Amino acid sequence: MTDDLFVVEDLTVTLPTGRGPVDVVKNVSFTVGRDDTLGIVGESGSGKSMTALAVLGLLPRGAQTTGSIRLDGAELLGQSDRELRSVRGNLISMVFQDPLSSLNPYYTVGLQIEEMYRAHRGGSRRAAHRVAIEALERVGIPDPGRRVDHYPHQFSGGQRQRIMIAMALCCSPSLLIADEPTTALDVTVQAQILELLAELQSTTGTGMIFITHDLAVISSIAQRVLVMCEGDAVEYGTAEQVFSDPRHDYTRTLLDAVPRIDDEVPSESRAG
Amino acid sequence: MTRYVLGRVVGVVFILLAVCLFTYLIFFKLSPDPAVMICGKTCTPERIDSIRDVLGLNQPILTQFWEFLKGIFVGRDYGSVHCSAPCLGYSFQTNESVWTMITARLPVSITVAVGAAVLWLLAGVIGGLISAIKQGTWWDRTAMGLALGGVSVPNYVLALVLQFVLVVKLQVLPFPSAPAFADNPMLWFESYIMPWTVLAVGYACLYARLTRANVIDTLGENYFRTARAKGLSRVLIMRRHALRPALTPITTIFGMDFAGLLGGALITETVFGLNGIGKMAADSIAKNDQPVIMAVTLLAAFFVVIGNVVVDLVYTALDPRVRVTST
Repeated sequence: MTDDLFVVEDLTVTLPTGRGPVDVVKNVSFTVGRDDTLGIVGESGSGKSMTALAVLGLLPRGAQTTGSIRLDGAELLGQSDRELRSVRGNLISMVFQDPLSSLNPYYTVGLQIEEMYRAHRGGSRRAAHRVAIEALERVGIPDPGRRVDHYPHQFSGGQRQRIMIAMALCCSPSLLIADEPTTALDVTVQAQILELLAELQSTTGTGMIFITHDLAVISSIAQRVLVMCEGDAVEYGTAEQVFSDPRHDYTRTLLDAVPRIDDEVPSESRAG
Repeated sequence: MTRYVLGRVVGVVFILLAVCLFTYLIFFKLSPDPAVMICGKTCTPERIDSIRDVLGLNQPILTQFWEFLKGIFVGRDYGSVHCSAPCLGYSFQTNESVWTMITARLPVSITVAVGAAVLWLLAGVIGGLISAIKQGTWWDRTAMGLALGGVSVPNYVLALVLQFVLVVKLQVLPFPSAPAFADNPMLWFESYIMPWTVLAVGYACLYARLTRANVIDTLGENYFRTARAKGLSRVLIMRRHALRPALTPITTIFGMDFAGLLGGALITETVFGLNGIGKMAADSIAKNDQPVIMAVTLLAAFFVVIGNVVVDLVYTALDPRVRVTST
């Protein structure tokens, strides 16, 4: 293992609800090394996304967070919104699940990349525009010089997610959090996006947290895996260890739920 | 885009023509005989006949309608009297040219509408925005409670109360008289401030609730979360990623409301005795002055239809999703 880039210790997130406060993330700890990918798996509502949002201080109003979140040794938890602003997008950036709704329909994709670049690096609009074109080129958008001035709805689903990735990487962050980035895409596009992420990670050396409910995806991309269930981290270890020798019943159940090519198929469905 | 605009303009012409025809049929065919109206109490059958002749009332209805339309564009003759274009006829009550009456009163109605619009946009949008940002706080609850109350108060009640308190009791404002701005700017402002307020209150309350709802919706959008995750400044996030999307739909409603008001604020103008299109409409209806009713209806329809087109064009500029599909 390389030195730890990102460390989360005893992270607990409490959300206020109509029936009193509820712990949606309970004492979760993990680390992400440089060049490393951590996969967080679990079903809907297991606290995966809440963990990610807690890292950037983007939790819903009234949420309380305790524990420790450290990036390169600097504590992020307890920092003010203003302080966190220089971390968001700059040191840690995020790619969300639904690329269409995650991009603002009123602005060109170029402007949306430029505004982020300029917020952290400053400089002229012209320079930022060049950065945006380069960023689009890097993620494989054809004809980026022209496409940079197009609006999100003029791109396909896969392209939109590429744009989100281009945006997330335009300030060369040390950590990229991808929250179900392939869930809204069809299978072939999914594979392309995963390939792109892996390729970009190898060239930039960015650490990555990859959140998904899809174990197949995790096994292809992550070195280490954290399994979450109802806010608890039920299993944490290397991908090999978790997949070949799961210690927790819940992990076994998850693995059993993955359809396999050598599974017995009931005779009636085979006939159909 | 050009094709789209041309299409809309053709549509507008047809709508206005239809409005003309219906108004004409309703006011000239279904109301009392205009010749009798003009003739008055001391009237002889011969005189009625001659009036019918001069007004062209004994011709087929479509010919009459055609003459009316022609009058608007090229002018027409009533016996020996020439009515130059745009001719909307003469008032049965005062014999004044209807076009002259409109041009004299339109500035008053426009002043009332513009002033009120500025007030209600400022108050409504700013109030709604603050409420949305401070959602659930005492400010939000108080403002929205007031807004609900404000929508419920009929504006003639508000007009009379304001007039009684500010003009009669406290005597801080003069009685509204619609003076020209150039003559006495201060008096102009003091005269119009009450009508503006009365007209603006209802709209401001409505717009505040609307703005609040839209902004709150936008704050829950995924792209708003993206904007925060990008580390943008709070001002930039609010301006670009909350206000622009939240206010765009309001343009549509504003365009329609404002266009509607240009055709005259009937109640406000009547209560304050302001000589605008609204008061003219009320007077002409009370006296069954058909050429004036006809003209006022057409004018209001004209503003609403044009307002609609302007809103659509502005919208294509504001929302790129509409823009791209329309070209």
